[in-house]
Amino acid sequence: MSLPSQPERFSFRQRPIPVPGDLRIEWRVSLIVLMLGHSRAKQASLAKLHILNDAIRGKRSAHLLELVVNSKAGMMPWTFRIEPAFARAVDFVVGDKLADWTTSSNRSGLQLTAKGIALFEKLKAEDDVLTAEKDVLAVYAKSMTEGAVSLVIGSKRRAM
Amino acid sequence: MIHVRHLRLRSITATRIYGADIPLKAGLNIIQANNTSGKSTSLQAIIYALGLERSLGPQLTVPLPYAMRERIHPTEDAPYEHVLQSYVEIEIENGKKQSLIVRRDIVGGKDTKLVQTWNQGSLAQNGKRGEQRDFFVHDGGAAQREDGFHTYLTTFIGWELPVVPKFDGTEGPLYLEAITPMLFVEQKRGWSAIQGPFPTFLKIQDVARRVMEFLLDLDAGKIRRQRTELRNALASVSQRWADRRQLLEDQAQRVGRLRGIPMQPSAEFALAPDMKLELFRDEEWLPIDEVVSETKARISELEVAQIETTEDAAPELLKRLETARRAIDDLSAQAEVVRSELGAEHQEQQAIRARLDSLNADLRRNQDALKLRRLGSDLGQAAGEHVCPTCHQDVGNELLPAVENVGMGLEENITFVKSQIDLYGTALQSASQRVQDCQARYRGIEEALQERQAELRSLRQALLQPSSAPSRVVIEEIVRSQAFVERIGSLDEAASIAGAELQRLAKEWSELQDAMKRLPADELTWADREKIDAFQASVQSQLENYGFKSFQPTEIILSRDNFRPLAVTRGKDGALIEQEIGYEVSASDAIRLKWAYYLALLRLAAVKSTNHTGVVIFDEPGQQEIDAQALYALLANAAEQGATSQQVIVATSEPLDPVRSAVGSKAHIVSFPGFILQPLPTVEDLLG
Repeated sequence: MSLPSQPERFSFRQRPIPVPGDLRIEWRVSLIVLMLGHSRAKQASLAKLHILNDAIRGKRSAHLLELVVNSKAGMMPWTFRIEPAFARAVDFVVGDKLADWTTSSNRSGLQLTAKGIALFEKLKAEDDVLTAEKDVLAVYAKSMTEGAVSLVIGSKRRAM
Repeated sequence: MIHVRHLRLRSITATRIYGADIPLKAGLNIIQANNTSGKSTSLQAIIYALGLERSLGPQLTVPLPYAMRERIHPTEDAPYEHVLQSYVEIEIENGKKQSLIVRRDIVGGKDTKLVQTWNQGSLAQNGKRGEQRDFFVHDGGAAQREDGFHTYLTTFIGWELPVVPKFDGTEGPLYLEAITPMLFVEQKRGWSAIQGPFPTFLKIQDVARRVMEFLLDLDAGKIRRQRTELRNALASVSQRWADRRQLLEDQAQRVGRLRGIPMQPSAEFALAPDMKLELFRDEEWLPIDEVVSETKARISELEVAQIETTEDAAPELLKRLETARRAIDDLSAQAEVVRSELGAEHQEQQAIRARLDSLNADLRRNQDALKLRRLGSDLGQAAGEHVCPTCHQDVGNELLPAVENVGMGLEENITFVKSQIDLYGTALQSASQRVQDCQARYRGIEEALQERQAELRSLRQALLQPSSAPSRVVIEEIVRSQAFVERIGSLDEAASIAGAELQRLAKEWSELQDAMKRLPADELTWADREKIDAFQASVQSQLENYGFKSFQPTEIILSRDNFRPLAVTRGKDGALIEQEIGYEVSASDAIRLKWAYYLALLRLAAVKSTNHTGVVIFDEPGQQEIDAQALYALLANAAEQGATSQQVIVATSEPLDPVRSAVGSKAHIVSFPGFILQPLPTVEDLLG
């Protein structure tokens, strides 16, 4: 058996890799706007956003949020994770002037701008997107007060 | 086919009745009056009376001016009077020469959602009316329920409205409101598009194409409809199949397993079903009839055997006792093995399920991300354009760029996740199959174990009996075996009934599949092409008449997808280029094109079979400062329709004399010197 004298050339091409839907900027920015929009005074502390984010992103959602809303001091009902991608999404939300930094119950937080509120209304009107997320947020974003958040993440902790 | 025979408006104040009566004939009808004198009111009254106002937009406000709703005066200088009650009535006639009087109140009368009709009588002669029947409009189901006016009107016209897909994934009828813009050109928005403009709130997919296909009565639309119907029927058969199969499987699982029934109906099953019910006996799967015949043979063998006394049988009994004990140990061990196998299979099944769940969540999120793109720049730069809002660098399309790699585009990603879901779905199916199998084997072993234990007990008792008594072992075995045969036999019977039913379903399914294959492709048939060619030729020849300048009239063709006009020109290299008609035509030429298009569609109904109503209404066709000559050419052209049984109704504010000379005696002209709505003579007036 003879090998061809000139081996055929290989060429490699980089193929795109799949991206989980929750790492899509469109998806996450919309989700943060929905979280803020459903909260009181269209504002929420970062801590609260992280809790909502973790509950919605993981497969746990509503009943865990129920625990937060009704839980006792210093008892975080589940070990919740701080997600780096979330922080980046928050930066985009602020950078795009959809929300501004503010202080909410002594913790740093976000408040929707007029532009953000307009987007929130549009997102609410689109009734075939983020349906499950909207259902959860509509109930819990409002009922989870900053007080409840303070309770569960420990009263001594400050801005995170 | 439908004609408007008479139009009546009434607006009643505290002192008198204002009204207008406009008789209309076949052929061209011209309602001539000055501006703001009520021409549009009269024409919109037709739309209102027929409950079609939503063809102008989704609001349910009465599309009539204040003279019909609030205040009215006989001349411009006279003081206003308040309108206390008002209504419109029209008389229409269908292709079978049946007439129908329709009345709808505006203020001060019955609910505006109510439409009253009389199936005989004439408004012009004010004679006796026929039977009265009331309908409703605009409430859900007005187009589908029997007491909905649009259901009635559709039948009266002689239409059978096709069912069309909607944007929300459901189906619904092609509502009358969607078709109306091709028959009635309203003054304010009607002239803004050549086709339509069609109402969008009805959420009908591809509405222009659906409406045109219906009006032109094209085979293509009917074929597509048949295909959808077949597809629905197939889905329903598949569902029934799946339900029946599941039911039988549940029954079978109690004793064994079912083989040879595919998940989906198949042609093979329709012709030669090979369905097997199997039981797990002696470490292998056996067909049920084999087990039954074996057991029956054993029973008859036992029945003819001499019943021995205990003493005689003792050595044999002891031997069997030993065998039974060994068998029990053996079976227990087997049961243990199968149980752990079942546990492993269960775990795998759960793992696949979890993976599928997270894939589905991922798919949903990616799909949401794709849908969110329609919000565009509202989402901000980062999400909308993938540019950092602060430093304006490219940020890619994901939040955490994975080192070197490029993330997939959304569409590609969605396809990728879908294919994974397919893969895992199949894996889950086979995992479930294995779990079921294990369970059935486990049950088989358990059953055998119980049987052996019962045997052991009865052998023990038999040994304890007085030595001269007849041995009970044989009798007990007969009883046990008979009970088994009976139980299994009834299941076998149920299976064969279900099998016959499944076979019937599979036959039905094969026939539907066959019908589906026989349907021609979704394209225009020869007859369709002829119709469109005739339509196009008629548009072109009219454009010539109206002085269309933006293109050569022969350069205007009709698109083959939704039949909108396109312009074909030759590029520099001589190739033909089709282009949309947008800014390339002047505003007045767009109006000429609209006239030509609507009249051509109407005229086509006279030579080919179409679903056109045979009536077209133009409210103020002299739009965009169009030159009077073109308008008179249109009127003269429309007057030619008089020869056929079609009807064209035009409202215009052009001066009466040139209009009259343009159409000659071929048109029916109703001219109003002042306001169209005038006080009617009261009884006192008549008496002098």
